[in-house]
Amino acid sequence: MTQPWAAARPLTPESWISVRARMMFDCCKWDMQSQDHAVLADFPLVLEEDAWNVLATQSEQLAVETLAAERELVERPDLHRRLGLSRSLRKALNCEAKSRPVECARVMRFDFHWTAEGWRISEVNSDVPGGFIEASGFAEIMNEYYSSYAPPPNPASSYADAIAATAGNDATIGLVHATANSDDAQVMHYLAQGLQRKGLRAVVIGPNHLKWESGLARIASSFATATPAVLVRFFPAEWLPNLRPEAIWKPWFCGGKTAMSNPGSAILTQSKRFPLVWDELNAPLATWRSLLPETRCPREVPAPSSEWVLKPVLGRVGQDVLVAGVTEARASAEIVTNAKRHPDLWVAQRRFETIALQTHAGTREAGLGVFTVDGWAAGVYGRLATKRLIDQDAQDIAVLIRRKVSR
Amino acid sequence: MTTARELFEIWAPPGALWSPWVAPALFAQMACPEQFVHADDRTRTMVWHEEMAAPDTAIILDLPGAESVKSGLLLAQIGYRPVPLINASPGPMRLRPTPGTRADVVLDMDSLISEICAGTPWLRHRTLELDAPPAFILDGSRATGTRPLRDDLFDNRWMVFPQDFPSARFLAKQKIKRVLLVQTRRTQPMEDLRHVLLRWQEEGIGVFLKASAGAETPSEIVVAKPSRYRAFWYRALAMMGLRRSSAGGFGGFEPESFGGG
Repeated sequence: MTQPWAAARPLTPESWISVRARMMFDCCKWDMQSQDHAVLADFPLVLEEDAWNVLATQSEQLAVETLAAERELVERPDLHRRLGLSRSLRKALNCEAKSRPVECARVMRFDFHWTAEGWRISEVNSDVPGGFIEASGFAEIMNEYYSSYAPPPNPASSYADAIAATAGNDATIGLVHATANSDDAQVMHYLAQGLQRKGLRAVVIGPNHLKWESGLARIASSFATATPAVLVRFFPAEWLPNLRPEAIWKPWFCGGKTAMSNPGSAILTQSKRFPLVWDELNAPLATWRSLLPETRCPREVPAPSSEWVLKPVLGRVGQDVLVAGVTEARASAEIVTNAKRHPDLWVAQRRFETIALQTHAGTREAGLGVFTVDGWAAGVYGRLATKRLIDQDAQDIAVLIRRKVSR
Repeated sequence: MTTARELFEIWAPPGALWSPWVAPALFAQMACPEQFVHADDRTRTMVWHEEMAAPDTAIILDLPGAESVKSGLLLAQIGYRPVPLINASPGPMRLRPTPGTRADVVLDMDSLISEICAGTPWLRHRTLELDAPPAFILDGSRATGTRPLRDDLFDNRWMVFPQDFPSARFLAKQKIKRVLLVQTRRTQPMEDLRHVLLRWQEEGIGVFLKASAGAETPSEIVVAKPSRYRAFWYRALAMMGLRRSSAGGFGGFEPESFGGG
């Protein structure tokens, strides 16, 4: 089987110092170190153009299917419990059609892995996908040093275009996130730069800085007062019900009339238990079914098991995932106990064997998160791990494309 | 005006062993006006430390922001590498606040930024060994802030995670055998930091405590187990700020009383 990718040679130390500095100071990449390892890889992953075309096409199909499923799921509150959503989320999502939030610039990221059977996906991040800085600025900077390759589409730029198309000229965009979390703040600052370049006014805020009046959001804080045309959310939907009072977060799910990206209903497909309700839906999910490994409720599979991976329903960045022989023993035991106690908050996904990537630094596990914006493939976020699980210990790697030679 | 990158590279020079742990977030969001760049050339002394850096000792300064920076520079005078690990935003926008800028924030970092600006020219001309032992600089006010929490303020409080520091294995490889925590009071370390220190202690790194004001010698402590220690969901819960469901921010981490020597 032809490999769809290869690792390029690393940059010289001098060039790498320059790239790092530009990432920190031009691209807002502030989480540069995780314990003993650098977060960014000093070499790119080169993806064959044919492979990128396949991934882009499949992602676009997946995005269409995901939105179709979401549209059905908002009408089916009877299924929300099976998705492992909390009572407060279920209550918030139970919303009359006329009151559903106004949405725009729908952004998602589908996580692909290369296997002996071809591409497989492990999940979609349809609520608040990360990786914009790495898939955009990092790829473009690295491309300057590897100019025989092409950069993939820039998802931050596509996202800003989609937001601008809704917002109009000179509009204010509210970028909503957990302000105390530097990892999230860096993404918001980076997107804000892109929005400002398009002539929009970007205001970085927490969800508590929004006041909703008849469904319309107003930014009311000690540092900014404005009426946003669009709200961009990087605050996970499942965190919103922790906020008080309810009035400051409920419109994300029901009643919001300010265009938002993404609406709270994105949590319906963000749930890793989404595949467990497929058979209840009319939406054609052929691409999903062909690419996602078998998924079951943990009650139905042995645990621990070398054949099944356990995932928390709303886990992110590979956190708290149990892969036998990979996850450390102590964490594994906790996960198994928790999954047995609360099986509805977990999901079991049949394990698939990936084909590793050979690099100058050794064998690595690679994963590609393909962004879609309003259904169009918009870029790719590369991750690289030393173990067979891509989680918070993984490195970010710039992805470049090797164009086909013209005949 | 010194650029953000120039500032950062003075505090995190390429090639220095501990530079990777200098957090860029603050540097990327601040700037120093010229008057600060030339202002500081004072003679510094450190009353509670020996005259020379101990190569087997790492220091963590967990004092109110400006005091931490000042102490880090004092330690640089005797051979430590100051390592600012301030993973936070000074303000709500990319304003590059300069000292004296009023910020509507929960954690006012103005004095901390002033101290960095004042100390930078001095540090720029200081020749430190590339493998000089580290003095990690935190802000002891990071969890509580400096102003009462109000919904209209920008919540820029922050916390540390084990991933923000080198591992015990890395410390040991550099022949670091103990870590000296300097804080205002002789209390247990703040809860977020205990997640780091207890891991180190379990791996054989001695943890010593020193109150910044007193002249007494540091004493070894047993780091109390923090809640959710090594719990697989710790980071997620900490990030959600479940300890206090304030919007956007983290919960308060009050230091627990440290009884005895």
